[in-house]
Amino acid sequence: MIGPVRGEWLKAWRSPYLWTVGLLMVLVLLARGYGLDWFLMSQSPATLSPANIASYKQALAPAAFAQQALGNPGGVIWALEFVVGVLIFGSEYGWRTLAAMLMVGPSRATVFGAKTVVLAGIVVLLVLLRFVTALASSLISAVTLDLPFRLPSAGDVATAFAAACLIAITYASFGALLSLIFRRASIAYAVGLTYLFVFEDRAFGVIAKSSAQSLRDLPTGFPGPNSVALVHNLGGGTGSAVAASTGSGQAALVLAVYCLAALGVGCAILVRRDET
Amino acid sequence: MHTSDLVVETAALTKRYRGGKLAVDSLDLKVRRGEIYGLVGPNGAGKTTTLRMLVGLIRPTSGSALVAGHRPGAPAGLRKIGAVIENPAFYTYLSGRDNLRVVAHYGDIAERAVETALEEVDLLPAAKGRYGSYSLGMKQRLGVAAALIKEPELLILDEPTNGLDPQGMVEMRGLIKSLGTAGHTVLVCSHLLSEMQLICHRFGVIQNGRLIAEDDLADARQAGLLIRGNPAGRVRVALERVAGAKAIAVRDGAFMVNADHVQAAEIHRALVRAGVEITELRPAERSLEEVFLEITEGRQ
Repeated sequence: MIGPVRGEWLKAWRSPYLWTVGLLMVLVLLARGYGLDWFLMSQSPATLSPANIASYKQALAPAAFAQQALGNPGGVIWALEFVVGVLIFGSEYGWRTLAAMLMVGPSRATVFGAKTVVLAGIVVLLVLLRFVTALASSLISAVTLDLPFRLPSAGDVATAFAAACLIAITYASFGALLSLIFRRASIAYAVGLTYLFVFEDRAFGVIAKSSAQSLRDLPTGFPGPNSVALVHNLGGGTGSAVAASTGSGQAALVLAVYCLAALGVGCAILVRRDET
Repeated sequence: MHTSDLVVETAALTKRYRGGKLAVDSLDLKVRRGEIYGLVGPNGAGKTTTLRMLVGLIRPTSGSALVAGHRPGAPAGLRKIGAVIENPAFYTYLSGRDNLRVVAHYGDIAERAVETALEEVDLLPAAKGRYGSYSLGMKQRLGVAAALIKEPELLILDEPTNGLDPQGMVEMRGLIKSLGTAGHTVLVCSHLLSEMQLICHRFGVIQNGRLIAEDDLADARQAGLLIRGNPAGRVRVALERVAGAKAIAVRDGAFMVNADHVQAAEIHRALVRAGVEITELRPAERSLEEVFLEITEGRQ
């Protein structure tokens, strides 16, 4: 397994596409998590109400960096994590390289395992990048806006980091699964992003406001609302009706089940299917 | 023949795709150790499907196969096989060298083998360049390098000269022939019969998924003896006496005698005794294309 993991790592580390996704994540976090708030606070504080100023100060302070990194960019970051899964698994079909790799020697299960290990490694690095970016941004904000330098506890940071990794690997696994099902990155993007932005972002929000209990409960079975719930319960993001009624444990469990199911089905597809 | 002399052995290998298309039908293929075996056939005959089954990319519907002593797709067997099926496929953003490093990692092969393989296909000067910037010939050579990196017992090459310019074709042909003489077994698949004729020791003809003929290339191409001499009338009489009238035909002013090279000395003596001036006497050969057409048209 070590050899294939090294091979996959070499491919991933040198991939300009993954570096681009990493850069996009940083830009999204900077823009939505810090940039706009910092601009308002530093350039036109007189236009803000005291409540707004307090809220911005709280978000920009180092004490909130872990929550910012975990949840503030929300769905856009999760979409980028989905893209990472497609890039690592689906690109092989575009380049027709999967068959070439399968002919080299390792079993198909080993190939899948190696790709999954590297996917997890890349996802953890990207989450780390977000946390480092958020920490640096919050420290800069503290210096420029005269905010307190108090940092969150190591336990809070670790919990937020673990939650961010769980959400990221779930979405990345979703990308991997769709790539394997469709054998084409473009269709995986189309289906996955449509699901993320139409169903998770809009439809589930509407359904959660339904008067029928059974409909209101429906979103709690999907990864998006559970990701929101996990972020909300750890102090990040803006929350939702579903988030308010779903505990962290349940949310984490649902995400873990989705992640394992996606990887299990993906592995079965790769191992059993003809590669024509 | 002892089974261990066979590097590829299939028994009634069959592949029927979903939708019912029968791509390969009860194929019994035997490739001997150390030979260059050419699998020839028209487009869509089932050549690539056969190769894909041999490396485990697709599973047969029925039948069995042993490749390098293992069932197709078994990791132990794949480690002994180097294969380029259809066009070589690599990562466009990586250099040629890094692409081979990926293959080396995947195969648990020491990285020094990368340099050796690059040298073997004469790609060392371009090893730093991005694969995406390679010419078709360089891509083909990198594909062969990736196949060679494992020092395989068996090389499987699918249309290795596809898309190459004449110079590239000559180089690829030379490379395959040198691999064949270096102890590798090569199973090469192509519809370019003129190329196969220059490379292979043995060949099999596949049509509609069935192996319809298999022979040593030299034997199959043998077309008797070609004789020219003066005066022609006396040549004919002498030849009829020694080989029989039915064995003689005239083509392009030469006598074609249906006889093998062992009989050449006897025919030569007969012509000399008859007082004929012999200007040419040599084995006549058909092209692989002629052999192929004879086999396939006979089947249609």
